[in-house]
Amino acid sequence: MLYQFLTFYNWGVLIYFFLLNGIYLFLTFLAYKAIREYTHHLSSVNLKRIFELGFYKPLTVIAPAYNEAATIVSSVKSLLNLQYPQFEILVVNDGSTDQTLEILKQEFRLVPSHRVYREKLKTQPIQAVYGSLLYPQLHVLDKQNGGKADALNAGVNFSQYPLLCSIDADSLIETEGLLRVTRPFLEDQSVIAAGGTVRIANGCKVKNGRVTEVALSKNSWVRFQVVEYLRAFLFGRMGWNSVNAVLVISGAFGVFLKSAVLTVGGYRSDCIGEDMELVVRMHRHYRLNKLPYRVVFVPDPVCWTEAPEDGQVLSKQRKRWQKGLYDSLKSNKALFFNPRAGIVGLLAYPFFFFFELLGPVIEISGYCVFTYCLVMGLVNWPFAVLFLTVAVLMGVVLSASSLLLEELSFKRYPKTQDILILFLYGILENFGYRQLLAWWRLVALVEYVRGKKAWGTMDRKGFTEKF
Amino acid sequence: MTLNALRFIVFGVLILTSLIFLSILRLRYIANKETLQRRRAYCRMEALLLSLFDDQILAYQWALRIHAHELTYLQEFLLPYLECLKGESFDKLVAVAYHSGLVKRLLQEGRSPIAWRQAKAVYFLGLIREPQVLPLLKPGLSSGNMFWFYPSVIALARNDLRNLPQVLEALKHRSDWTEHLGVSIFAELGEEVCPVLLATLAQEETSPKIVRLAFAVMAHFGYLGSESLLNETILTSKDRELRIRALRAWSQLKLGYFEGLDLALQDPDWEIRVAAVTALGSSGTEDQTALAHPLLRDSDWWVRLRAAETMLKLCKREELYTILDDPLEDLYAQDMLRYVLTREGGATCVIPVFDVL
Repeated sequence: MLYQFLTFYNWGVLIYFFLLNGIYLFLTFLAYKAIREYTHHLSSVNLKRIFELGFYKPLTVIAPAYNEAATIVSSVKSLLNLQYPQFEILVVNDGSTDQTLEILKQEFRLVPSHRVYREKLKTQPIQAVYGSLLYPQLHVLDKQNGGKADALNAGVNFSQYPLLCSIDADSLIETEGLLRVTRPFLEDQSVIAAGGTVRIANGCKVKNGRVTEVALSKNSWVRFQVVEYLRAFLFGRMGWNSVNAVLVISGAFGVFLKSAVLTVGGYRSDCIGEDMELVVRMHRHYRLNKLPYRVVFVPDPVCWTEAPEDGQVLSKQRKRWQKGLYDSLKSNKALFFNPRAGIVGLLAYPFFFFFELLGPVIEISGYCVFTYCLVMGLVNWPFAVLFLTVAVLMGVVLSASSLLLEELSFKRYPKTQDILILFLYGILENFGYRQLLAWWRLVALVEYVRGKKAWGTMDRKGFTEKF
Repeated sequence: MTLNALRFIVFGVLILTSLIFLSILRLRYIANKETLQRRRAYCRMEALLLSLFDDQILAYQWALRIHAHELTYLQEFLLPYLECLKGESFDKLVAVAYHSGLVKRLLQEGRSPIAWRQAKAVYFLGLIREPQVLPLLKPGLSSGNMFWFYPSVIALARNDLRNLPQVLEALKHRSDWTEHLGVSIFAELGEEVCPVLLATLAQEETSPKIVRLAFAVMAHFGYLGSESLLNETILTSKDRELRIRALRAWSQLKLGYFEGLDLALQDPDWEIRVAAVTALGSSGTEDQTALAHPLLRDSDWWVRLRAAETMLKLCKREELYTILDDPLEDLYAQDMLRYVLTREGGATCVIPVFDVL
């Protein structure tokens, strides 16, 4: 009986493994094609020239801030440096208990403003609205604490332009980032959301809120994450983008059509992963109502963010992401294998459910079963060794493919040495790091099921000379 | 069986990993080489450009020194110069593009089924006013993609003034262009476009957005022949946007005072009053100061601001000080006048908090 179960389990895991890697390889292929096309396309457009001609849609940048005293000034300066013909910046102070608001008031000479706040989406009460005497495009909303989603909704209410860009207050957008990320909205009128690439700023030189020199951090935790981010953005999202099934637009850098956000009811305040949830809800609304739409991922505009530098903070972040994924999928389960939802319902949603959400369950159970078999002397060694080798090599291939895509496209890491180091970390991550991530994600699932949905905090160090 | 399959997969994946690794190194090598080539080509072209402008060499002599694989660099190099130069220098660079075979290659690329490639070719050919580009423009003009539409319409506009009806037609069917963009397209047709545009507007039924654009274009070129049309629009049009644009154009053209302005100054719409009082400021004389004075007491902040600015332009400061000293004068009017006078005087003042529109 036990032997039968183990045989059945082995075959199950084997099929699961090959299916997962098959999809990954297919996405890599799609991403490769899309990036080739995109880089050619990019060279044909003189962005600055075209935007100078009044070829744009005005945009509101919403930066929710909660206890971001360490990074808020550099983040806002980075936003003020952005090149875009017409935009406003809304910093939403979500009831910070530290000096965030005071620092903002002092640094940007904020004075009370009488601009009207229209509550189209329900939020926590607004305490004050400020305008800057130094920068007319900068506004600060001070509101009672209600979470990131609530702060974003307040920003949506206060915004006056048709496009909304949500960013994390601790992120730095490249100078031309907005010009690039809004391009799809001009190319295709059915685009309702667009996301850019998020990269890790640890190790880079930051001056006046701008990344001036890209380099790799010496911290191993960060290096593993750099490989992970490249993989997630360059082939994950780019691949799904080819079939209009991007389910995640990072909260750190995404642009939305305001009317579409209002149509679906804004961000959900009771949700942990509000960025993913909003995008999945948009897919659900537009697909099920048969409305033409596109959610696109643009690989070129880059937003730099600070990554955790130790295991403790990283575990908190990953647990939060996993809970967010669960939340987003749970609240949009109408898409699950729904033929009316097209490729999103039949492929993307089930992929995220079986491979992203349940992936850690399968992986950790595999390690448990392997340990059990080892103790009981049931291990088929030639098979086990070969299977593990294939698993590791597939991981390496996928990491290497993302490095290849990086080289094909944007080449942000100028030193060849950095690329070689990343290649090495793409191999090393299979021995310990990946297992650790799977464990944290599994713990997050268990916590979520048991009702522990706390957001958790992440200590920021700020973009200083140390990077 | 399973083991053999796994062995085969391990072998395959190992080869794939090695290939990817080698590809990364190769790409890096190619990219470095390309950067070096591009830099060298640009240096050479800069030297040739100076020689060409100094008449030390002729266009065909430059063209002879361009290798076939450098045509892309040549296209990139010439583009910013073609966008900003005029006259003899422009013609010399166009001659280089023809002699080097770049134009021939772009005409082929203009037939490419790939949108971005066609857009790129069409934009360049449009800049040099190549007539053979016209048959290639149809897909771009009907495209929903602004990055394809824009190069096509620019190519159409630059080619010949006779293409004006097609330009208007192309713009009429789109809603996503801004006035600024429209003016930049018409600017490519040159000043001669104004009378033709005026005649076209008189003959054809067109959209209000196009008429507003026409006003902006005429103001851009300072075309005084549009006076009667502007006059008529300000007096009779029921479209408030159109009246506002006509008043703005009137202001930009600095046309003289007429009774239509007086009516507009009393319009219930605050934006029309703002436009009218601004137009009065740029076209009126000291005699018309009395017309602006009541607007200094307007309920709208912007109207009061523009009225104060207009009065500052039209009359002597002493008269304004009289208003400030008048105890019977409206307090809001005095406050605005004081604000404008302080600002003009260069003195520092506390910026009042106001509702941003």
